[in-house]
Amino acid sequence: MSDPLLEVKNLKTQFFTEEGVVRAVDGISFTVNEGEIVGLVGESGAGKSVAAQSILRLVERPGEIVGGEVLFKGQPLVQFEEVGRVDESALEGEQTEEGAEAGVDVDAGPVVREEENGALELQPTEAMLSNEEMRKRIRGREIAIIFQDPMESLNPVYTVGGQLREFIEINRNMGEAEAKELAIQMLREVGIPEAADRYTDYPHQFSGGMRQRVLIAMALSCEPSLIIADEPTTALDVTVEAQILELVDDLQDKYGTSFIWVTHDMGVIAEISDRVNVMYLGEIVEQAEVDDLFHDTKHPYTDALLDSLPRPDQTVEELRPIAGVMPEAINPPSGCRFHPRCPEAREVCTRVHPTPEVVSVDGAPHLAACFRNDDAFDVGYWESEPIEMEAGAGFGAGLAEDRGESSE
Amino acid sequence: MSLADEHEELAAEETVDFGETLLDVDGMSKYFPNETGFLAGLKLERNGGIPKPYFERKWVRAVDRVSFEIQKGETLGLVGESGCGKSTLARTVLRLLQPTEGSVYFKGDDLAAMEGDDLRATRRDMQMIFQDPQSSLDPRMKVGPIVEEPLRAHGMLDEEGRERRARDLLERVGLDPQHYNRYPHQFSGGQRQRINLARAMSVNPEFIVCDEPTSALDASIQAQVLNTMRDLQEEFGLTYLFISHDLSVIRHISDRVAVMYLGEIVEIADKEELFENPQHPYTKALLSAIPVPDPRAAGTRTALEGDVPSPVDPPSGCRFRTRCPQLIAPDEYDLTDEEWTEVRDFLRGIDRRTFTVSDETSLRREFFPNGVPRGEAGDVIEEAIDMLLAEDWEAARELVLEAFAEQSICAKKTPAYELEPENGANRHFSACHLHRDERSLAD
Repeated sequence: MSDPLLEVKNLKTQFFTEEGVVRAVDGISFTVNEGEIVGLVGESGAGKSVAAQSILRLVERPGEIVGGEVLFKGQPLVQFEEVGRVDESALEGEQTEEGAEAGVDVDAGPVVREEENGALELQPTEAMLSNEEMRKRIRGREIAIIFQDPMESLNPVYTVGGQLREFIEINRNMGEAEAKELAIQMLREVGIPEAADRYTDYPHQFSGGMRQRVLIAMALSCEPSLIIADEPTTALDVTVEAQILELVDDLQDKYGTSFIWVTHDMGVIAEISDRVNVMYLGEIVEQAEVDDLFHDTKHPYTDALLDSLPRPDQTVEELRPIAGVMPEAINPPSGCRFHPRCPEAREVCTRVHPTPEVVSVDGAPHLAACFRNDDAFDVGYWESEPIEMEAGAGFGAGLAEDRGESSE
Repeated sequence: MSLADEHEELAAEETVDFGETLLDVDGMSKYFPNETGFLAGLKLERNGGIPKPYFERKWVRAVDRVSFEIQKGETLGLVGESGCGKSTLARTVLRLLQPTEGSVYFKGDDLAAMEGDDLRATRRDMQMIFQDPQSSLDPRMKVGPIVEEPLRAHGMLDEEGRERRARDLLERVGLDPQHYNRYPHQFSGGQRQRINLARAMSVNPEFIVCDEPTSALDASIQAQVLNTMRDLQEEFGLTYLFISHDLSVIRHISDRVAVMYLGEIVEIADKEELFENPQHPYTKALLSAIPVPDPRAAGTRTALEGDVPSPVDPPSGCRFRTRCPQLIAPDEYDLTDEEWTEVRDFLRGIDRRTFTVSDETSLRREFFPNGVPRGEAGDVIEEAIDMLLAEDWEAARELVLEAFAEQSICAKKTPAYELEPENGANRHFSACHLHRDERSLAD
């Protein structure tokens, strides 16, 4: 196989809040090949949207990308080198100092990363693309992004056509007339009826599904190699969602665009993606081809998630919910982050932190971060004592604000 | 005193037996004025001279002549897309909104005709749970008083009794009774929805309307809340009207299911019957649109075309006919099924302007590869093609809609048929003329 289109290696994004450092994305790695739809699935708070934004370096303060590498067609969108360790007392000063020079290009400055054993100072490498290069060469032209709420992505005081035309003019260096023609053509392409007439309509005159089509048209108009879709159909009705999924299928066949599809809906994942990454609390816990993920599940979290879903195609008499709630990423549980809610957790899971390993090699590689698969892990899972689950299904789950401590 | 005893004591004096009709909605409608305000509906006649003012009010027909029954102890699922009138229906059933016409019989009494103290007393037996667990709880009130509030409003129990009951209920819905003194913001979304449940349960109602109670929750949390709702129903013999846009949830929780489209109920049947033997084309489309969480099941999708029409001016006859993939051919033309399919696609294409006209040959090849149909139908189509070539879309649209769509039985008569169910014993109602050989309920 040729090189992947996008390579994400050990990407970390942290939010420096008053309550503490939130490790929203904590060392995820995955690849996207040409013409592929890669799913990024997880519950709210799993860090999937932050991961998507980090790829385009769209994370806003107090969030910051603090490590890892993102390579797009070999160009480093994110790349860091270590400067050295920072001792805790210096950290406070470091941050204020950084705040003081807020006027300058913050992204290019050094960052400090919180680790279990202290903080680490890193600095972007020479090769990492500058903000200007990101803006001019990557965003929109090479990698486009579609957000969940189409109303927020469109300016209500400009016409739909005008916004689309402007976007094309800027990104494809076209004249106004030419750009308008292309804009109308794109609107037609995504199934907007009477495209030429609707060109002068304002966003509020479009239905939710139509607005999402406009954003897809905008994303496609620069013929990018990759589109990041962040829950694009979540706000839509099922029949409209079906229309959009159909449209994406057709357009993908036609343009061969790759997608990163971020969603919480396992149904959408099953329908649209080729490969899937399951995220839990900032980490990827399982990575597999879509069929393997659903029919040869290797991680207990994925298992439990699938078990908790009511099905449209069969009557499930008893749902089996996952006990408890997802802890906050400020103070994640030790060892395996899923262990307080995992029905199969053993003593070793509370101590040792699993990273995804290849657990099955027939066909495409299937990665899972669970010690149950002991061919890949050598930590003595089966010899370890089973533990009582800490989080009960009921009130044992604790209050939202206690969640951090409850896992200690 | 235990919760169960207390429950007994708080129970309404008169009640109906399990399996009997608890709620009977009969031809209920709710219209809203399209514009509101002092001068709403005031129009000016502009025909050259001095503009003459006149009044013309338009109505949004949010819920239109809906009839159904709910038996005590059962869960009726109500499913439909956003804007179809589900929530308006729920609020009108509870008399939070005054129905424009029709009746709502709760235990035999007509709520629509009730007023004042009678209505207030009856409301004790009916509670509601809302979609957003955040905004339906007062952020400045502690959880305990929130749960006690309905008791206080109806003057039930004394101070001490209310607190005891609130703590019992918190435990019953899966929260810690110790959380009595906490504020809503200290709870997660799923836990807040449990507080809502406890509050609704506090006056020991018989009937709870749940308006998308789990839509804002994550999958794993949704399952917890759904299970709790089921347990409570079994324990206290509750009756639910469960509203959701999510067919998977509806399939899990309901005994019977009603499907709504544009203010009307288009199909009602037992759960198994509706999901295994759906009869209305809209139900079929809805079922095929849901993404199934199984990649091996994918690929049977038939996407519906077009958008939902406006409820201000809904289509005549069957409201789904403008998008229906099975629109029935008008009787006066003698068309084969294949011919009618071509005509229908042509008509929909013109109506939505989904194609562009370049030249006559390609237009004909696109829609009528085997030539246009014979006879009268063919004449109309020839005329429409000429209009399209002259770029007169509006005339062509009017012509084909008038000649075909408006002549169909779907446009002329309101459908209502009683079918023989294949699963279960309850009635299977379908509002579709495809069943015109079955027993019609229309007058």
